[in-house]
Amino acid sequence: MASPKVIVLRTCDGETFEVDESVVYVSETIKNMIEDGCGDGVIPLPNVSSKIFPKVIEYCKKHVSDFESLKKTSNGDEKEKDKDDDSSKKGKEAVPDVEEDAEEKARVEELKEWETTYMDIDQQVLFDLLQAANYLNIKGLLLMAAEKAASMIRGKTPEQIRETFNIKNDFTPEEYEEVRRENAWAFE
Amino acid sequence: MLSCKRNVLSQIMKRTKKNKKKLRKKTLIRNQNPQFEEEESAAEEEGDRGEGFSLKSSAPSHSHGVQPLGNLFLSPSTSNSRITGLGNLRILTDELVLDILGFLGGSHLGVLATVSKSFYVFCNHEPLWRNLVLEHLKGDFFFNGSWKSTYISAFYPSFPVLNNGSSDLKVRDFYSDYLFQSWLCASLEMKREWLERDNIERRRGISVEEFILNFEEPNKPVLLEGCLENWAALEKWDKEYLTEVCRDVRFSVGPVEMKLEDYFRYADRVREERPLYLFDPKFAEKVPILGSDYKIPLYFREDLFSVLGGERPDYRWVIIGPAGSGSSFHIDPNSTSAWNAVIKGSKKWVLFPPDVVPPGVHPSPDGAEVACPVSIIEWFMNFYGATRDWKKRPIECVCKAGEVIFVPNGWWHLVINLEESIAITQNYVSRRNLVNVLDFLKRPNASELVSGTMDRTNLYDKFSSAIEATFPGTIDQLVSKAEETAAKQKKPSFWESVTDAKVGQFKFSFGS
Repeated sequence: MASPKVIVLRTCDGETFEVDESVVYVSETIKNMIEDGCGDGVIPLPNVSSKIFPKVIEYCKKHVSDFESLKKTSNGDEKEKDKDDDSSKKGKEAVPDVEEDAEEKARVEELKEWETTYMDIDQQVLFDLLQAANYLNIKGLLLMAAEKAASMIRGKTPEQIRETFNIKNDFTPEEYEEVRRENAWAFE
Repeated sequence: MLSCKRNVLSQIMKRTKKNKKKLRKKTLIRNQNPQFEEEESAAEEEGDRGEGFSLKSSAPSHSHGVQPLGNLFLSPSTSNSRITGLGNLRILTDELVLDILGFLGGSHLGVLATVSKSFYVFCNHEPLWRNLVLEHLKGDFFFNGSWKSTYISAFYPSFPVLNNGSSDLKVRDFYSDYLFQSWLCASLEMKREWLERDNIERRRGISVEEFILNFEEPNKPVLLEGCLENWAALEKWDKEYLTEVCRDVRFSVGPVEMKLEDYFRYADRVREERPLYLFDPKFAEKVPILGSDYKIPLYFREDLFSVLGGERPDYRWVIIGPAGSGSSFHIDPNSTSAWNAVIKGSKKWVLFPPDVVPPGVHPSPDGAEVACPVSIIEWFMNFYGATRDWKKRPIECVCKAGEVIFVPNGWWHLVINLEESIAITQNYVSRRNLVNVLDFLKRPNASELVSGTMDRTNLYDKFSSAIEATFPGTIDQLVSKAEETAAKQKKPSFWESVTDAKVGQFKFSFGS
């Protein structure tokens, strides 16, 4: 059997990385570039730094073999984007739920633990990761990072949120009162 | 994605002031800034200049004064409140910020809205609230004027919702292409020039043979007038009648199922870029009297999928939607042909033949997926103009109540309701496109492409055996006829025929 192909990539700050093709295929962006014939040279990634790229690759490595089954088990967690109505007539039916047996449950547990450790990162890394996942089109990573950012907002008071993200309260006192009144229901 | 001219906003603001009859709400900022007030009234006096876009008179004001990024360069102030207001999140694009907010529940969005002006604008982004409503309430929502107020009324009923849910606060110094574009597309009216071209062939009172010879066989669209004379639906169908007759029956509306009364309540009030569209394939099974209120027009009586009985794919839909709703570019499933009859309202159609991919549309190589990233109105804004310079212009028309359009198999089409509309559409297979359909169903990736049935991979076998049983020898006959025709004639493109004075003489070959 042929040895796995290695892809060479260069981040925006000039560093090169060699990664197995199957790993790097988790990124739709890179996958498309390879399919368009760029796989033999160095693939440039002008929007990704050498700082964040290893973190992204770590995710990809974890999700290479799991890629297909991961899609099915995380169907419940993923946000369904609003479908455009032109597909009404086409009526694509939903993927039927995969029955979870004990082995599957253990795998899911392990993955959740891995994710918790993986996402134990500071804000700057988190936002870099979000942007990288967006540019590289890695849906699972994007959703995971977005949910993590959301968890940093959930349950906090406005002042706590401002502190967490270094946000300036730029309402005038009158405006703030107006906005508070409008959203009083959220503070019950 | 955004290709607005820089002066669009000022043009819009002028027209807005002209068109709006309701008094716009006072703004806190205006009261504090008399100089700003002066500027605005000066703009009013200048009156309309140039083309620009016109807004619907009921356009929501919950843009909160969001302006497109280009305006930042023209503005006397130099700051975008987005920078301080988002804090560390300012490095993220608007779409990414919204991705994060998409994970928050209603109360968390409400709290976040009080954090800064930027978050106020983001947290009032209607699609966020639409997702929350549909997720938690499914089709059982009582639309209150906006998705946000609908959500609040449902989950916080004791909280009084003022001003139909739209808010007072205007944020003057917030610039965002994404949020502005979203509001713009929700508020735009169709430009006159998008509706002007009407180059479809129209016929009235032709025979079935003429239709088959001149349109069905050559696979050309046509608008048929006067063939719905016997439709009770034309007289009877309006919101009151339908609501009465359908009562608590639920119809398919996007991702949810709704009672008609609830849907009409939503459709009457909503202004958004992609309104929810009622599109139900089982309407006559759910409410049989609806099925008896209409008859299939004469030309389309041959309906070969009927040999499959109850196992046939979805084939008939009732379609109801507000102005702005519709379908972006697609080709109808299973290689079937279709007819679409407008009962109330009017629809703008844009059609391209099978060999011409419309601008802005990206079908995947296997045809299983079509990416049309823009909404219908955005397609008109950004891509319609391109079609004017093309040699291969689309077929266009406005189809009004009482008219029927024939959509030949394989044709790309886009439809937008110009006003609240009710229509019935059916897809069908006749002997003219039977060979095409069989070819389609036989394809190796049939499991992805075939639609409207749970039994995709076996549909070819079932259908061809059923046809053979009911009309023995037909398939072979048609296949050899198709092969003969293809061999005899070279294949001129559709466009060659349109420019040729002797239209109708060539045959559009099967399978191409």
